[in-house]
Amino acid sequence: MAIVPTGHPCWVRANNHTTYGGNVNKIDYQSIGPVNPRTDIGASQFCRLASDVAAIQLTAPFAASTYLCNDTVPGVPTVEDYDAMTGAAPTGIRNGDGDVTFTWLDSYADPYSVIGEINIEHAEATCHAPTAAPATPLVATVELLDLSATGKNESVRVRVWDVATGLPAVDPRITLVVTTGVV
Amino acid sequence: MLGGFCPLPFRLGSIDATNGVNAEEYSRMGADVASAVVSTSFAAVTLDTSAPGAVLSYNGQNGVGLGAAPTVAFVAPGVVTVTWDLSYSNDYLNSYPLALNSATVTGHGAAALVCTAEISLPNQITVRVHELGVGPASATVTLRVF
Repeated sequence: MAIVPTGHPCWVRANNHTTYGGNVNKIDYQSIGPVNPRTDIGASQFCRLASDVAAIQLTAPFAASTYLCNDTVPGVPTVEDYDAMTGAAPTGIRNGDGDVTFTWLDSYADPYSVIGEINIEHAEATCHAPTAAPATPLVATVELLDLSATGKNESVRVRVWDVATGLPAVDPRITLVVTTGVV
Repeated sequence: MLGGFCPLPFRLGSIDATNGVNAEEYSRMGADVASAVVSTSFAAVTLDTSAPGAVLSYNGQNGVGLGAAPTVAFVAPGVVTVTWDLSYSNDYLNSYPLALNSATVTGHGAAALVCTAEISLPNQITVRVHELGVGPASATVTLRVF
């Protein structure tokens, strides 16, 4: 029978150090610490691990993606790289030049098949060097969207401009980082 | 006894993948956590720079939600400061001073916003928002600090 871990998947942001077995009063059994540091892990060491993991999992981004807008030949954005806590890359659509929307699923499963919903609360977009001359600076903004009207954001729209002209950028390459919040 | 189900100290060693944790597995976890600790952000905060300034959502190593959020102060149109406490305690009541040393900021919405972040104090970031062709702007932004 498969084990079901305590707590929720990381992206739900609901775990704390006790979820991982930490306890402010945890002690070594019969107050005997590690006998051999090569083979044993003591209560204080384990609690440090639980505390650090609890801190990390609160701010770790859900996903970081680098994509290329396809504007010269209009098409959906090309996801060139995708690193996420779980799941496959989101679906991207093109709204216009330098303007795309990515939509994630409403929920994902962790490696133990525990389901956690998605609620994107923070998004950051950074422009890469322009893909065509002249190499003018670009700037990007983001917009969090609840397209499924569930009360939780599962989509992010990103718009990119050419700073020199103020017009939408054509074929920009962007890195988008999204962080989920409490569901 | 071998592995994860014995009392602490937790003795490494496993019969198989369902019983215990071996030294290689635990060392991998230790190495990965140590790596992640170094590069993980302290907080991500999405805020409104309109007067008087407000936090809209917050994920921090000190907690998630508005109750754990820093203070936002409106300075001038398009300029706010975001101030955390000088120090925070972890779950085991170990207190450490906050020393912010990196920050990124991204504007939200349909306008072309150029946003900058300045580390004005070890526990404070000054965020400036400028709309292309317009000037200082009030907007929602996401700030991440390390």
